[in-house]
Amino acid sequence: MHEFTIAQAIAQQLAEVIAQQRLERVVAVRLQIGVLCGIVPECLDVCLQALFEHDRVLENAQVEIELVPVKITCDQCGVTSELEELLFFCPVCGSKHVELINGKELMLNSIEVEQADEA
Amino acid sequence: MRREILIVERVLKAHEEWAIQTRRLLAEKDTYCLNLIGAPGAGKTSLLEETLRRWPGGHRPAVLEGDVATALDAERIAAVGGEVIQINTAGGCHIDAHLVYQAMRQLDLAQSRLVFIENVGNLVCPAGFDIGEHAKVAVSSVPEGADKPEKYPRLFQEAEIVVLNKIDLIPYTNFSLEHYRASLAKVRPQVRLFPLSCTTGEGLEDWLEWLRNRKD
Repeated sequence: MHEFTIAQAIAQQLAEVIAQQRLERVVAVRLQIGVLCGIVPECLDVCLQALFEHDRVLENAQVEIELVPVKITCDQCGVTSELEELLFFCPVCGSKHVELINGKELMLNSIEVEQADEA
Repeated sequence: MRREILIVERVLKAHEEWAIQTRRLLAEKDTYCLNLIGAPGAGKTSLLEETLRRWPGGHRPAVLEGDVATALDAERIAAVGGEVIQINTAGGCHIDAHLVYQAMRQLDLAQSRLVFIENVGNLVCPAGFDIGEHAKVAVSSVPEGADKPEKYPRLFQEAEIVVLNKIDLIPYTNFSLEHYRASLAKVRPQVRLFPLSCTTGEGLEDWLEWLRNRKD
């Protein structure tokens, strides 16, 4: 996947929040990324750091990525399972009638900030 | 002192808003839109050429052609009488939702009522982007091999239907249709598959019938 396009979108969203809330220093950016997105976390981190490097507010921000595994619910037996391999059938009963619950997320969840008057 | 600020936003929210605008525009014109995604050389453009050539009557579907460079595909579509607009990404690996919206506004949608977006040749990136279509079509081909569905699960999961092109080449390769169906079943058990050949015409009628039903 093209991590730089995703990094640019994240940087744009952060710029809006920073401007709206007049933030002075962001120390952490927390993302949630589903395994099915095909994003390599280390690559995304490199891209984000390249964008943050010359930004006074973001230059010291650590990127924290929570990888969300694929979870399915079986229509036949009702069990929700986490899939270790991307084979879309129920590991409990073998049914192919499954619904994807998790795995495609691409979320900017939160940031951790530090303000000069709060230090 | 540090504090956490919750944002909880989809990263692609801005892109998705353009896709929503496009679908609003399509709804105003009562038009259905398909996003064709497949590897370079799978036969996406050939499929569109044959679809337009065989279109039964009335106004032909319109096409948005997406490529890194050149207008070669748009020229092919124009040669069979289709209304077409070329989008060049200048290096981008997928078409952007914003570009699609701008191009869609230029099409005479009220006439065609069906529009195809032929995405950049790529089995990975386009699968993750909503560009305003109503459904994605995965276009694969025999020379790519029978294992591509499980190797590129995101596309085959996102697609409403799967086309397997170049079935006329099966006797000259070690491609097994049974293995291909098995690979597809691992990632998308219930998906409808259209094996066809743009060269011989085999299987195209089923595809055209599906399109006519979809459009109506």
